Amino acid sequence: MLHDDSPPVNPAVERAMRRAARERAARQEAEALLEQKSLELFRTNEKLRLQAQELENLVKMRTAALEKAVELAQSATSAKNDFLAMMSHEIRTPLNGIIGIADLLSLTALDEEQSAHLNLLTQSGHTLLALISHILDFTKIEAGHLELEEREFDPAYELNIAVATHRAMALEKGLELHCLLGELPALVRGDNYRLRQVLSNILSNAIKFTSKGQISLTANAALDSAGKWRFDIRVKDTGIGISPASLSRLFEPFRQADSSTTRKFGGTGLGLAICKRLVEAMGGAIAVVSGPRGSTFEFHVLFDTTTVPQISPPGSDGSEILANPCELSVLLVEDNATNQTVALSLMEKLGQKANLAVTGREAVEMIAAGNYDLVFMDMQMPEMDGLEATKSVRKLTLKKQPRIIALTANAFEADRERCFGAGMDGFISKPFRLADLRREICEACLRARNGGPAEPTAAGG
Amino acid sequence: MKGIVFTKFIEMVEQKFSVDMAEDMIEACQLPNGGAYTSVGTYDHQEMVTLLVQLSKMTGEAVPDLLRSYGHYLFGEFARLYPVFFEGVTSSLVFAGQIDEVIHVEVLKLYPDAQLPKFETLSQSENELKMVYRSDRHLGDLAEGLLDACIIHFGEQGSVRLERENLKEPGDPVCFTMIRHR
Repeated sequence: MLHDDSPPVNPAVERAMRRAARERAARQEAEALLEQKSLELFRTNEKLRLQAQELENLVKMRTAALEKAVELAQSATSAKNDFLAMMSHEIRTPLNGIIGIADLLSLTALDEEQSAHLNLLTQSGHTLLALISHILDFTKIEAGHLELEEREFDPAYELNIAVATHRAMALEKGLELHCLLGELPALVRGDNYRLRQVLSNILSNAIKFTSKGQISLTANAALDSAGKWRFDIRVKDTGIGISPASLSRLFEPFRQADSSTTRKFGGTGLGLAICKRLVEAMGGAIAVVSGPRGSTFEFHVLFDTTTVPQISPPGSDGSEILANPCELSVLLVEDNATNQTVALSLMEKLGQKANLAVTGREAVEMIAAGNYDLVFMDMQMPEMDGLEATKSVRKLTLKKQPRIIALTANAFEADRERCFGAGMDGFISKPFRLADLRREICEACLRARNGGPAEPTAAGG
Repeated sequence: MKGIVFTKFIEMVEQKFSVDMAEDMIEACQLPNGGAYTSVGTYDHQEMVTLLVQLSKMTGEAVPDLLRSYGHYLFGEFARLYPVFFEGVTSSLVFAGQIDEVIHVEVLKLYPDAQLPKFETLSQSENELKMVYRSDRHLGDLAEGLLDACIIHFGEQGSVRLERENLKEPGDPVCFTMIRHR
């Protein structure tokens, strides 16, 4: 007892010390647990970071692979398009010869059988030509090379021309062809050639698939909220109609209503696909409704307004042009003897006489001296080519400038642009057809009558 | 068993009885960690039983009564510490009905290793909630205290009645029915 000199422990102090020790132990345990959790979190984060990195690498790899695949696909498409464009041009050249010679043969004395065979030959040639044109056109559109041109034109005139050039085809089948125009602006800005292409496609389809009855084209225009002219155009026929199953794929490329149609009516199956894309490029849409009593193709396109908004009187119709061809003074400028013969004899068939110049220089002299309405100008001639000659003509001071239409074997947009750039008004690619010549002559007639496209079309009749 | 059950239990003893009583209880139990519990730790369920039996011995109150009292205390602490679970909840029936689907889901986010009791809802209507409590710990009395405190928390002690039935099934589940009678 002597050596135990520590003071007696107060139970309250003892409890407090125990409690303090317990609290400290608890805190230390909690801290250890927290450290452990922190470490676990760090490891988990690290793992996630690595996984994210791996995923990112994977995405990069896949993206690179995709880019490569897209590049490959694009270069393949571009190669295909180049090939198609080149081939179609290469095929045109010998086809020029075939159709030209066939046309020449038709001018010689033939018996009935020979004449029928020759007719078939010519038709086949033209079908092949149309097919190539379609493929070339479609290839360009698919490649995104569709370029709409901008020029002022008279819409009523374009519609009348489209109907007029199809009237003969309709009459041959005993069909009536009507054109009913509402109030249209006298001038709009846009691509009249593309409009004409769409109209021509739909009208010739309507005629092709109608065996009796009538075809009518109606057109109306109104200014839309954006200040553009919206043209609503409808072509209604009394033809065989289109089955509901076929309607849905009518505007898809390489499709026709059905395979039997292909056999019976021919065609590339590209015409309506091209129309659809052209109409869409012109800010519009195309649709068709069809029943057993016929089909109606409806489309609308947008054109810009011009500075002189005028309304042309309704009801003008180009139908009288073919019935009463006007007196036109026409000059053919062509150095090749074969082509001279073909062109002159085709015009003769249309009841149209023409003078002949064999060089560009001669043409300029004749135009300066004469009073020509219409000039068909070959592009490639020795001494002075068609472009040079046209430029010279445009510099002349004349009572009236003639319409100059280029004749060329080249079918590319760039060539067209060069023609228009030199001051030409139109463009016929060789081998030209009777219909092309007829169209240009009709057009020159309308213009000669109306005193030019800038003025409202006169009422028909 | 999660540490919070221990720390809150000791807190309750300190408050309801006395700090000394809590110390003596811990001292008497000869616990492996000397009673140094932390809410983020996990401990053997048997230690809880030891503590309860000791407290009963010291206070003369039966273990089930102590557990019910603890349930009341624990619920008050939950309400104070986790008010987010009470947001937008206006009745004890709604709150009790979402213990498994809402509250225990949140608990598992903080303590992935927690072994939680199951409150399986058998039927629920606007005026009646019937559910079964299942747990390896057989703490049906604690659950009863919690649910009772829940009714009081929402001020429904006059309008909601809690009925209890011990089911004769393996695991000794308990069926609780909360009935709104007015």
